[in-house]
Amino acid sequence: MLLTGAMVVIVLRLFFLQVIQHDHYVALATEEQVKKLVIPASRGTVYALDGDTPVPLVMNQQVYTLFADPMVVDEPTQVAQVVRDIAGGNLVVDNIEQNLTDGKKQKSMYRVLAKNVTLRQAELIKDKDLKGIGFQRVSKRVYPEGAMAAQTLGFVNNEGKGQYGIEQQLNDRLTGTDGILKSVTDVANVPLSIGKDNIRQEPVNGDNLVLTIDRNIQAKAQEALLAGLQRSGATHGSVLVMDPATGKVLALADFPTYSPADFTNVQDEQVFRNIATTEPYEPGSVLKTFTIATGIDKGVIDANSTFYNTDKIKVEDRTITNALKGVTGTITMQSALNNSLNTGMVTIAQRLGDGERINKTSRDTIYEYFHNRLGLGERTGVEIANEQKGILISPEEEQGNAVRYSNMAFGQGLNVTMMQVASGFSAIINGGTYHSPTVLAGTYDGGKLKPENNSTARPNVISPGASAKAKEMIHQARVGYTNTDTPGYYIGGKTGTSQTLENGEYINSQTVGTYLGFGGTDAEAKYVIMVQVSGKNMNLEGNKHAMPIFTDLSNWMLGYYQLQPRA
Amino acid sequence: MRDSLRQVRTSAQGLVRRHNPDHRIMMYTLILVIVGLIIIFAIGPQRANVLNESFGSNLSGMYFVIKQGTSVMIAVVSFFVFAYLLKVDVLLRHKAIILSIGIAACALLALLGNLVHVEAITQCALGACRWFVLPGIGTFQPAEFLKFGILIFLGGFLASRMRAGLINDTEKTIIPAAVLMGVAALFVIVLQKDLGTGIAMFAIVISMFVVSGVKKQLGVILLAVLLAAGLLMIITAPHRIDRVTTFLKGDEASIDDPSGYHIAHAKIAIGSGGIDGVGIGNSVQAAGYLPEAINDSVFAILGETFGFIGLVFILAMFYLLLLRILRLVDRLEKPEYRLIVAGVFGWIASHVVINVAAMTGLMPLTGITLPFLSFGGTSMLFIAAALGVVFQISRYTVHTQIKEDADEGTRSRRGVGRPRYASRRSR
Amino acid sequence: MSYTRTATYAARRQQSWGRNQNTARFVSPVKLGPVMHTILVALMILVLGLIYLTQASGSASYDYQASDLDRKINELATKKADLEVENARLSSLESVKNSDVAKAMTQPSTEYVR
Repeated sequence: MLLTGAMVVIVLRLFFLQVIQHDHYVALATEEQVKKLVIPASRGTVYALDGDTPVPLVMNQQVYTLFADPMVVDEPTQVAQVVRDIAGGNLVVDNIEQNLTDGKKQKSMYRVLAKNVTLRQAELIKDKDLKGIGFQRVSKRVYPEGAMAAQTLGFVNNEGKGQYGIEQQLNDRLTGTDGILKSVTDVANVPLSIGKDNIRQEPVNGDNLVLTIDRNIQAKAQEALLAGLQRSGATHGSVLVMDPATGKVLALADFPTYSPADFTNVQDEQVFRNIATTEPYEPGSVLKTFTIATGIDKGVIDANSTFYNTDKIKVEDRTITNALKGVTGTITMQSALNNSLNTGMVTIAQRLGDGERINKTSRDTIYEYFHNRLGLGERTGVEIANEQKGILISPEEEQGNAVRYSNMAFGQGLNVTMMQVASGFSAIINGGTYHSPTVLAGTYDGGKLKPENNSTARPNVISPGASAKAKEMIHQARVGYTNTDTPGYYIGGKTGTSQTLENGEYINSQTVGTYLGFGGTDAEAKYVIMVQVSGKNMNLEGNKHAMPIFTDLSNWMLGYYQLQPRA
Repeated sequence: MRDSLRQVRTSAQGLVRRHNPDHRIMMYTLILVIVGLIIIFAIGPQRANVLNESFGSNLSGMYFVIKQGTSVMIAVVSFFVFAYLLKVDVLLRHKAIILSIGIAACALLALLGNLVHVEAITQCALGACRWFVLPGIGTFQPAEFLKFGILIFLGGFLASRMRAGLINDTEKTIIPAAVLMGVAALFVIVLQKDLGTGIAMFAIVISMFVVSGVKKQLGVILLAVLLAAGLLMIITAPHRIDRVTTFLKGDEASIDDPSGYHIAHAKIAIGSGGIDGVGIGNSVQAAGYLPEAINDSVFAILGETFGFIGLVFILAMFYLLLLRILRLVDRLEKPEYRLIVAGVFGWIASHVVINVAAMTGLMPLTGITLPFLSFGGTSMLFIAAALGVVFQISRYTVHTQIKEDADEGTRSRRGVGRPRYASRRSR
Repeated sequence: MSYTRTATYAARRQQSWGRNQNTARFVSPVKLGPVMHTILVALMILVLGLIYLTQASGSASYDYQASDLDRKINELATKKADLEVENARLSSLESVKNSDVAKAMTQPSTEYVR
């Protein structure tokens, strides 16, 4: 009877549990058995080019963070010994033993001992069967080329978000989409195929990007910049190398620089910034090439047009003078460019108007060429984060008066980036087609480069004839310095030395030296190089301090491209 | 062979001819054993992988079913040995030796495990040493042997007291039995900290006393003492208090509560099985969620796999088996036989009821195996041996109920008033 | 095993399984006792169970194999990536320039085509 009663009670209980409360327990079971796991998409890698071959600049590596649970570790001495032997270079604490005993006193359960331990090291340590030691897998960005193109690349912060450069700008493309695994798992989270509603959505990895940056040119640009800065004692400098025929950026070097792998150790955030795209400045006389090109295309001047130079010229209530004095009298525009005479440029601006004044017509024309056609004062759209557009005041504004435009004619009174200037300059010397600059050549997928065209072309911003004439004038402007160039090539360039503004006032004690030039064969310019050097309270000049860097790099480029010199 | 063995035995009550044994006992047992093999086959891979995962062992998916199969083979052999070869009377004659071996084995284990700490051949956990490790063979739990020893010894002992009419004699019967049980409890409950096995042991003894016709007052006193002792056991061990408080919380007990984890997951497993279960091989709770999924908690896994229908079937098998055993008690003349069969009834019934009730949240949790279904060799070996003895004894039934027993009456009564030896086979 | 009908009407208690059935009886020439019956029934259940099991139970162990393979794939992928990184490091400009081979080279002239 007792037994029958017990059986009846049990069966009733089972009926209650299994039939009446079935749904409740299924819900409880589902809650603990079904897990939603994220399958992380791997971040896209970044390649540079070596000629036409992509070479890795940024890669991913699975590394391990080695941590200890001081409450579980029973032999701190042995642990310290093993960890120091195998992962000595990765330690983040100096005295492991001390750290572990301290941790035990503080009842800590988690102490990081070493970071960035490789799989091999981790396996070696695991083989020792130490108690209380664990590993946490993290994906890390590694940079086989070290600090190369750091300001172009940017870095990935500890939350996995791209910061600066293309890492920030193309973060979405690089990130990809994480996959989802919703599955019944065992207690150790091993997915089981038992459930009916298991979902597995594969991750979509981020794009592997190939930059237009050529690692050889980039390395040489960095080297030339560093050498030039050492010669001049300047503390800051940037070099931009561009293919004028396509708008592809071949090198972008900034100094001071940093190693993206060690971004956490950087004190001054300034070094993260890509100077050529994010720091507009007054480039000074190099913009005279733009004024010349505008004048030629409008037909108001050519190389041999003359004007009467008195080393000063009056615009409204201001008098504009030349930096170099004494080349007075009736001189050619070529001479004005060669000697970087401001009066010549103001004269062109006047001739774009009624010949006497820089009237609205003249200002509209200059704005049309500088801004609309050659892209000054507008973002170029290059794939680098935080690009600035600078300031180019339109003639419609009150500030856009004759004085402003007379200054702009020789490169003052505006704020533009090196990227804008180099792109516009490329259009001037390449036959008149403006290519928006790009650093992205395409993607690397399955061992193949899939090209992408991220540059838009704006043809005939100046006529091919005007382009040829302007190019020749710029070439002539360099003739005085050609003894340093490899003979047999067609090279041209223009210096610029600009005062800096401090509290709205130009100060003479601090000048930025700029050089903007091109090089190649008689038939075609193969590269445009823009160099900028600066330093706090330093007078740096275009011809003395920036140009040698151009010359060094230019000569190297001729060899690198193996261009045929004229006979 | 059967004919050659046929013989006539005499007993105190008279002549009972040996006849065919009760094959249903064997049938229900075999069905349960097969269900046990199936469930272990089904969750073996999960268990093996959980162990591989956490202990770095390298067990194959078939490891558990092969081991259980071996245990079943050994158990079958032991069943047939005790059913056909070893005569009950011979066992009874050597009852003191059998009991002594059981106690000695427990004493040796306590000595080696708790005092000398010979870890090579003992297996201890949290100060409780329950197993001998026999290198190359497996583990052996001497408490199970002790159960069997107590069964045989008390069967003989109480029967002799019954014959002498001294069953209610405190000095001659109760005190020796109490001393014996005290010694057994010392080893099993105190030293091995195995309350489940201890309870089963007492269930055997209580069943025997009930059948022996002990006075009601004495029985009540004995029960009261046992209850008090049981309460003491619970109060002295913190984990038992936890289990009782968890039990008292009932279905509201939280899953996150560590002491409630086991029972909560047993209920999840049973509950999520529903009416027809999730099917063989689809148990998820066996994949590490439910502790002891293959041993003590196998009932919950059965519930998950086979559902309400499956569990009712399994319970029906146990119920029919137990009724069959109980039926024997009523039809045996020899007190020794009656007592032993009653003891086996108590043995199996206590295991089944305590295990199932604990798994369904009807009783506090104690570690006790579910006969034939739980993974584990020693338990099965001795239950099979005990059933073998019962099977052998089932040859000596008569058709009348020997005694009108108010406590343990069964409804499966047959009104045939002749001794069964009258039956004769003609083949 | 074939059953033949015999004319014998046996007493009801001759059969241990079916008492109270005083009806025609088929006697098999092959004598199967209750033990054999029990074992045969049990074996049949066992065989049926095993057939079912081989269909149903295989998947669980594959999950762990799959999980294990996944882990191995990940490990090998990590190793491959490590080697690629190592390769990239060794063929980076910096290491190439500083290699012994590079140091032994002379500076190239850009005037080779003159």
